Amino acid sequence: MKSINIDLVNEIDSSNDSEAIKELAKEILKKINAGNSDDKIKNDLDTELYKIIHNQALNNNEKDGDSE
Amino acid sequence: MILKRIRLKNFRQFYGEQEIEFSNESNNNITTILGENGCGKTGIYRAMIFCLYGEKNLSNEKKHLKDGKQDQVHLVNLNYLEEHKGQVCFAEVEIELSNDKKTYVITRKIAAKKSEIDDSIKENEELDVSMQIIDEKGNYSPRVITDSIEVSNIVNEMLDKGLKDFFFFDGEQIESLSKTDKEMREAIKEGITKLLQIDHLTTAINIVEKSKQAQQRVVRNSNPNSELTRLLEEIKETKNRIEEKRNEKDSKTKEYNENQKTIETIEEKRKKNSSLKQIYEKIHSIEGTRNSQNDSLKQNLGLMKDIVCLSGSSMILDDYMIKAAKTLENSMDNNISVLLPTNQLEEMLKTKRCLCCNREFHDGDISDIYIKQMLKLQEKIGNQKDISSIVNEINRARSSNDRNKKSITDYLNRIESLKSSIESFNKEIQDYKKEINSSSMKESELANLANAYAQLTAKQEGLHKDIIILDKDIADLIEGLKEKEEEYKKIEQEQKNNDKEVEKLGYLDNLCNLFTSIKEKYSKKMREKLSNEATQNFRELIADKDKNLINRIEIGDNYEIIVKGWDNTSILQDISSGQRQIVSLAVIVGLAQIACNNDINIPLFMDTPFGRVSSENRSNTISCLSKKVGQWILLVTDTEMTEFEYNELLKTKKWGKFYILDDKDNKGKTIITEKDKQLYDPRKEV
Repeated sequence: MKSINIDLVNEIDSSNDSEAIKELAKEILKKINAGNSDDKIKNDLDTELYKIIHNQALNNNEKDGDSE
Repeated sequence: MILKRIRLKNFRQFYGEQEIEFSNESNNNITTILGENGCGKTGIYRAMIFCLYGEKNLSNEKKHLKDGKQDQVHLVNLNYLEEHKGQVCFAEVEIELSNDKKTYVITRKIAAKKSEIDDSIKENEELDVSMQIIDEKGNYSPRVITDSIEVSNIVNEMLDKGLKDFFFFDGEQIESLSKTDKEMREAIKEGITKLLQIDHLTTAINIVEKSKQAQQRVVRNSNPNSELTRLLEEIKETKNRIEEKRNEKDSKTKEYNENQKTIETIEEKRKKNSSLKQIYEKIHSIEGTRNSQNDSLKQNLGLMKDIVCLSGSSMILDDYMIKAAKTLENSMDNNISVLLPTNQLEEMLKTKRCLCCNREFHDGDISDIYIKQMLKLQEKIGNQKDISSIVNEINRARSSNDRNKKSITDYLNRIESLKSSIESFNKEIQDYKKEINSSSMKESELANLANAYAQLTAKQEGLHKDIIILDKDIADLIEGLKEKEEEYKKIEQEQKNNDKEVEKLGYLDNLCNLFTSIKEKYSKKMREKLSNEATQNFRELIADKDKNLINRIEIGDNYEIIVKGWDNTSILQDISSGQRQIVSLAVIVGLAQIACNNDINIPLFMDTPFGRVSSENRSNTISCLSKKVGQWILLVTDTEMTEFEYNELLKTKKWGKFYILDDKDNKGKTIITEKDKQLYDPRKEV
């Protein structure tokens, strides 16, 4: 009863929201459903965002390397 | 959440220990508790709220308490307090419930004491609570939870406190749910958002928003763009200044080198022409002597000219003068001698006395004649004297001429000598000048050269100093440039990091927008779903004759219940209290249906469920709710449990437990008795 359906995220048809964002949203909802504290969810979100940005930077560097 | 049993001990009207077991099977889910007014139906309702949520008052009482219209209800049984006057007494409620395959036993106690002096009752504000959890295999949790907050959290997980009034309610007051006041709207909104987990989305938005705000602060505080632009400008400016200084230095160095070359040339020339200076000195010396001799020449010429001018004519006549003097000398009588001067002779003639012998004489005397002859001779002698004077003069003039001639000769000789000397000097000067000309350097040029040399040397010193200063300036600027470039690199790195921070902010912004969209869409969807369910429930609950009264129940944007009539106009204010109660029930059941995905596992605990409901509606309500809700507990009065309701309940085939609350002597000592519903005769009881 206390859980919200995380697939709600997929019902949003927005081309602007990348898959990474949607996955993040699902993770947040999962953690809220699991009863994690707001602070923990926020910290996890920060960590996840840095991972995404870091990986994206690595990918971009690789692409730049390939194109060169 | 499914309620299994409730045990009451000295709580309100329930003296001693009383217990009710609830029907909790899906096919046997109705429990009815029958009691006359004052027997403790609301006491059971209150015991539920007290035990589960630690609240001493029902929601509708809180406002009255706040307004001072109602006194605090005593939870400890008054008879028990009276019997134990002066002693601390406890009221206790224990509820056993199941949720998600676990069983929970919650026990909550309150202490009170009745004064022996003035019979006043003081109830403790602090409540003791404990919770025991038993898993599906019957294992008890190792520890009993006694922390009230922890217990509250667990209970709220099962059925949030904010939702309790939707499922534990007084049927006569449930119609207030459909009222349009703001407080009720907020309650409905809170209930719907909690029950449908829209609050989870709100939580998600709040978390992301909080993170976004923190990130905005990070980006705002560490925005190095302006610093980077400033540094870039400074670096550009410093480079320009270095370039300017270098150009200036180059220019000065070039000038210095050119000057140096000029100086060297001058030095070379000066070295080469060093003898010229001596020649010029000699020339000056010779010229000095020459000029002096020139002056002397001019002086001699002048003097000679004077002599010539004064004596020239005399000297020209010199030959004539010689001849004249000879002629005059020849004409003179050299025998004539005169003894006495004329004046004495004239005196003697005048006095007629001889001056020599002092004798007198007379005219005609010989003496007189002689004297007169002497006078004549004297005249003659006088003429000769003049000639002699002329001759003398001529001789003197001739003598002067001779002297002058000699002087002129001397002057001429001297002039000749001077001229010769000057000529000699001029020749010598000419020779020197020829020598100078052969060196192609004039004295003025040499002087100019010396001046130029001095000026250039002075200028070189200035240039040298300037170049040293420029070198230092350039070195300082380069040092500064290096520092700025290092700082630029550092900030550029920060910029890259900041770009990541900005990117993160973008993600958070998108995430926030995503959750907001989900919430809006989900809320709208849920409101529509709830509207459909409520409308459907209403049609099932309401009597046939009123089915067309209401076209649709809608949950508005502000979570207000809107009842639309056949012509789609809002008619909530126009329908009866009983109909409003049906509307509220329809919404509550709809809410539970959506929340539980039609598998409702929330108990519906209704005090006085049919008070304002007509018999036809009661039939529909019993029939409908028994099918739709997971557990239905009814606290009814005898007027709500007539043969009609009794039969309707039996018809559901879901009626399990049946209890009667009995306070025979009306002494506040209600006894709960389980009754076999088959043996119950509503006609007899009535």
